[in-house]
Amino acid sequence: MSNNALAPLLSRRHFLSHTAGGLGGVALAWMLNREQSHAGALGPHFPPKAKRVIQIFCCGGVSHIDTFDYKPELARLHGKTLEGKGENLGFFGQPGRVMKSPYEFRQHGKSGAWVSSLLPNIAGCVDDLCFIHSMFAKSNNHTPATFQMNTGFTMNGFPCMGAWLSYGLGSTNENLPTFVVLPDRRGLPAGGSINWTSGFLPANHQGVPFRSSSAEPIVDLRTPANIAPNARNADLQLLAQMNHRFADAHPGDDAFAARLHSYELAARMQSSIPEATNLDGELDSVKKLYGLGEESNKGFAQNCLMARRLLERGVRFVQIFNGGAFGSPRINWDGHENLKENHDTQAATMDKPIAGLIQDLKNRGMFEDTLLVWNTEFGRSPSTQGLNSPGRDHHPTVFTCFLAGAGVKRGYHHGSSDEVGYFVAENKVTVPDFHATILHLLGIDHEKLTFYHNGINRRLTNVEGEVIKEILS
Amino acid sequence: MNARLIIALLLLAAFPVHGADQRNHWSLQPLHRPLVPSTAKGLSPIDAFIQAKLTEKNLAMSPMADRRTLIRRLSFDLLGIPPTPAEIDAFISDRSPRAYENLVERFLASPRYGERWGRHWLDVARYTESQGFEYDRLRNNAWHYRDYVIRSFNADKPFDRFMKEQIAGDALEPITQEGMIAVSLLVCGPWDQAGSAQANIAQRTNTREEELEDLIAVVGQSFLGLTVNCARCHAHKFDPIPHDEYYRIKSVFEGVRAGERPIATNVLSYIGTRVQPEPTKRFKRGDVNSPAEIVAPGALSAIAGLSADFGLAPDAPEATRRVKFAEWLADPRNPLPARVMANRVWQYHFGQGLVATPNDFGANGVRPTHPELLDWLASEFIASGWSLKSVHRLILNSAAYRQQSRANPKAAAIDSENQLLWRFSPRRLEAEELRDAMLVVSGEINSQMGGPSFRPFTISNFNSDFYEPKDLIGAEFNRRTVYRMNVNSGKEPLLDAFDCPDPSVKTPRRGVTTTPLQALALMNNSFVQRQATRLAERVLAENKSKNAAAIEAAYQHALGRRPDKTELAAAVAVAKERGLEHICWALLNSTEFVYVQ
Repeated sequence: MSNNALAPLLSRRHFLSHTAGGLGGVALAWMLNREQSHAGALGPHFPPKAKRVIQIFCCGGVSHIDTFDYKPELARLHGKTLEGKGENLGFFGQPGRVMKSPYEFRQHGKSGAWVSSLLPNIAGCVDDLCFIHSMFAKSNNHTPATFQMNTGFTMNGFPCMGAWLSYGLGSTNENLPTFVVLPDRRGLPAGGSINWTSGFLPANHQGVPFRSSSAEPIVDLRTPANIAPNARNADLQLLAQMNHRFADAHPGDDAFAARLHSYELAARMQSSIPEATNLDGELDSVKKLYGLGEESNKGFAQNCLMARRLLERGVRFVQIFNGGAFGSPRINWDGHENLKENHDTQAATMDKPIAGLIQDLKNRGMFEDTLLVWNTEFGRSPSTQGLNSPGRDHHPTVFTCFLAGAGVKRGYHHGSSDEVGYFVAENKVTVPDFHATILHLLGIDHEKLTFYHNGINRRLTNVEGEVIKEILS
Repeated sequence: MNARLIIALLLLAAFPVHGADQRNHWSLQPLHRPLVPSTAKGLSPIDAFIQAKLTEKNLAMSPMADRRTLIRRLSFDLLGIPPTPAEIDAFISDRSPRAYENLVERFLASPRYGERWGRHWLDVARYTESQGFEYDRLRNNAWHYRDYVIRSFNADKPFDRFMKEQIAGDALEPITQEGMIAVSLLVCGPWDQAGSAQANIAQRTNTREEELEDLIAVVGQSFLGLTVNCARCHAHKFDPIPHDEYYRIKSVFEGVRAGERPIATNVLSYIGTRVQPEPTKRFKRGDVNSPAEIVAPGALSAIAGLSADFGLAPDAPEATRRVKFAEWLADPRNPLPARVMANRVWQYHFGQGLVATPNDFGANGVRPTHPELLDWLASEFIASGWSLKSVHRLILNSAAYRQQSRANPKAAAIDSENQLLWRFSPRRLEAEELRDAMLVVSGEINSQMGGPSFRPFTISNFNSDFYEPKDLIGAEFNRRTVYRMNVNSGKEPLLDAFDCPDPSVKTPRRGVTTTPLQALALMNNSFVQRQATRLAERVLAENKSKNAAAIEAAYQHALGRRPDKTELAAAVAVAKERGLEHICWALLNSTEFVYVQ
C-alpha cells in the first residue's frame, strides 16, 4: 500500500482481510490497530539492493543457442537427427535436423563470456552482466509462457510483477505512475493490456502503458484543445471548492480528502509526464550512445532512453517490450521460418540500445541501485522446425536470461544447458525462482508479499520459488 | 488483547487443524433458522440482529436518512442509475406512510434492476466476450448469456433453478432455450485456442486441465463459496476436500468444451459443446504425466447429510453427470448456496458482506460478523422459494439500510470499518454506474435492452486481435454499459480507471481505488466532456436559456438537489463568464456525484 493519502481506498478491513487471510476477528482487530499505527507501504522486508527495475521483455522466444549459450556440439551434429531427448517439445511438432548456429561465437571481456556475432554491442558489456543459462518455462506456447514470465501463472488474470511491486513497495514519486509499460512501437504484444494487468490487485497497481511516440504519452493526459488553459484552471478551482465543501461537510471519510488530492496529482502529472518523456534535452552524445534515430532499432532506442528518464524521476518499474504480436511480417523473435533472417532483424532493434542503456546507467551512477532484467518467454529448438526449413521451434526446457546492476554479480554465469542446449544440465532456474530473486533484490521476501483472493493468499511465486543465492553480489 | 493470545491465533491461522475439525467448519453445518434476538419492539428481524451486536459495544444505529438521500441510494443500488428530478420530487412529497416501501417495489419491478444486478453476477461468472490468451478472438454470440442473466434477475427466477440451469440447463427436462443459454457459465471465461491446438500432447493436455480448473473454480466459488480448485494438486489445505473429489467433480464437467452450438434454428450461441469423455483419472500432484486411478463423477463429501456419490459409473453419460450435480447443488439440505448468495446480496447493498470473502466460505475465508443473521437470511431465502427479490425487501426495508451515512467519531473509534453497521457507509459508484449516470444526467441514455453488444473500439488483426478503445458517437454507444462488448485486451480507459475488473478474473467484490488517473479520465476524457456539454444544452433548453434556472436543474439532475445560495451565485458567475458546460463538467467531476451516501 502506498505511503500517501491515495492508498487504495479499499476499506482497511477489506485490505486486512486480504492480507491476513483466515485470521479470526480478534486477531484482525489487533492487526487493524497495528495497521493504523504503522500506516505505510507493505515493504520492503529488509534493506533492498535495487531501488528500481527496468525489464526488457523480448517477445517471441529468443534463441539461447544463437545468442549467449554457445554449443559447439551443434556443428558436429549439424544435419543429423537429434536422439535421446524424449517427446518433441516444439509447438508444431515437426522436428527436423540439428542446425548449427548461423552465427560465429567468440569470447568477450575479462570474463570471457561467449556471445554470438548477432549481438556485438551487448557482447561489449558482458563483464557487467549476470547470465542465467538454465531457465525453465512451464509452457511451450507463447502466451501462457509470457503470462508466466510476467505473472508467475500461465493463465489470464494474474497480477504482473510490476503490479506486485507497486502493491508491495508503493510509489517514490506520486507525480508519475509507479509501473510504466513501454510497448514496442511496431505493435503491442499478443493480449495487449492483459500483459500489464493488476489482475485481482487493486487497479491502481496496474501498468500504465505509455504511447512513447505520441504527443499525448498517456490517454486523457491533455486538456481538450477546445478548453483554454485559463478556463481549465478556473474550472479546477471551482471543482476544488465544491469538493472541499463536500469533504468539510462530511468529516471522517478519508476517501473524500483523497479525491481532492487525486486532482492535485493529476494536474501535476499533466506537466511531469510530458517532461519525463521529452527526449529533446538529452545530450547528443547520450542519444548517440543509444542509437537514437537509427532506423534499424525501430524506435527501441527512444524507449530505452525514456525508460532511463522515468527511472531517474522515481518510477519504480519500467517494462519495455522488444517485439509485438505474432503475425506476418514478424515483429518479434518467433523465428519459425528462418531463424537467421528473423534474429538478424530483431537483434538490430535491441543490441545497441541495450548496450547504450547499460553504459548510460553506469555513467550516471544508477547502475548500482537499478536492476536490469532481460528476458524472453522461452528459447528455441536445437533442431530445425521441419526437415527443410532453416527455422527453429519453441523450446521451453532450457533458455537464457540475464540480470544486471544492483545486487547481482558481474561477468557471471549461472547454470548451464546440456551439450546441445536441450535440457538444463545444472542449477535449474524456474520462473518462480527468477521472480523470487528479483523480489529479493528489491528487499522483498517473496513468501510474504501476499494478497488474499478467492480462498488463497496469492503470491507472485505461487507455492514455489527459491532465491538464486549464487548470483547475489 | 495479550500477546500470547495473538501468537496463538496467528499460529492457528498458519497451521490449521485438519480432520474432523475441518468438517465442523461453520459454513458446512446444516442451516437452522436462528431465533431473532428479543430487543425493543418494532424492530425488523434484521434490525434486531444488528442492534444486538451494536448494543454489546454500546453503539446504536444512526437516525434514518432523509428521503432525498434515500431515493438516490436506492436508485443506484437497485437500478444503477440516479433518480430523475421528477422521481425525487414525487417521493419527497408522497404522503403515504408506505411511500418508501412502495418505492422499493417500483424499483424492484423496473427492467433496469436486472441490468444492475445482472452485472454483479457477470462479475462472479467471469463473463467475457473475447477469448483472452494469444488470439483474443471476439465471441460474437456470447451475449445471449448476459441477456439470460438480466432476464433471470428481472423475473426473480428462483435461485435454485438459476443454479441448476447454469450447470445442466441443456440437459434438464423439459429442455428450453433459456436452459441451453444458461450453461454458457461453464465456458464464458478465457480459452486458450493456440494451446488447445498445439502438437505437443502433454502440453495440450495441460492446457485442457487449466481450462477445467477454471471451470471447477467458477462453479465451486460462485455457488458453494468453496475453492474446490485448490484440490487439483493435493487435498485442500484448509477445507475438507480430498484430492480425489476434485477429480470426481472434474468428471462431472469433463464433457464440456469451448465453442458455439445452436440454440434455435440458425441461431448460434457461445454455450459450449459436448463430447462423451473417456473416464476421468486422478492425476497425482495434478501432473498430467502421472495418471492414477479412475474416478466416478460425484460431489463433495464435506456437506453432511447429502450423498456425494451419484451412483454413476465412470463412463456415465456426461449430461447425466451434470444433472446429478445440479440436483445435489440445489438440494435444500445443502447449506452453502443459500448462505453464499444471501451474503452476496447483503454485500452489494452495504458494500461489505457479512462474510468479507464472498467466494470463500472455507477455513481460509473470514468468519461472518453476524453468523445468526446470515443463517436467518439464508433460511428466509429458501423459505421464500429462493426469491432474491424477497431478500432485497427484507434488507431494504430495514432501519439498518435506511440509516444516515454521516461518520460518528465515537463509533468510528470502536468500529472504524463499520462492520457492525452503526451507519450506512458511503459508496463510490462502480465504473458502469458512473458511465450510465452520466448518460442519464445528460439525457443521452439509450434504454434499448438486450441483443448484440455495442463495440466501443476499433479492431485490428495481426494474427492476434487487438481492440483499441474509441469514444464512438451514436445512439448505440449510449446504451447502458452492461451491453458493452466486454473484451479482455484493450481496456476502456474511463471504466478501467474506476476499477472495472479484468473480465477473466472471478470478481466477487470490486476494488475501490482513488487515483490521479481517475481524475485525468474525468477531467479530459472526451465522453465526459460530451456528456457535460449535453447536460448544459439540455437544461438550457428545458429552462428557456435562463442560466440560474438551468443551473438549478443541472444540480438536480446530477446531484439530486438544488444548489444553495452560495453555490448558485458562484455558478451563475462562472456560467456567464465561461459557459454552463463548465459547471456541468464540475458537477460530473464532483465527489458528491461520484459517491452515494
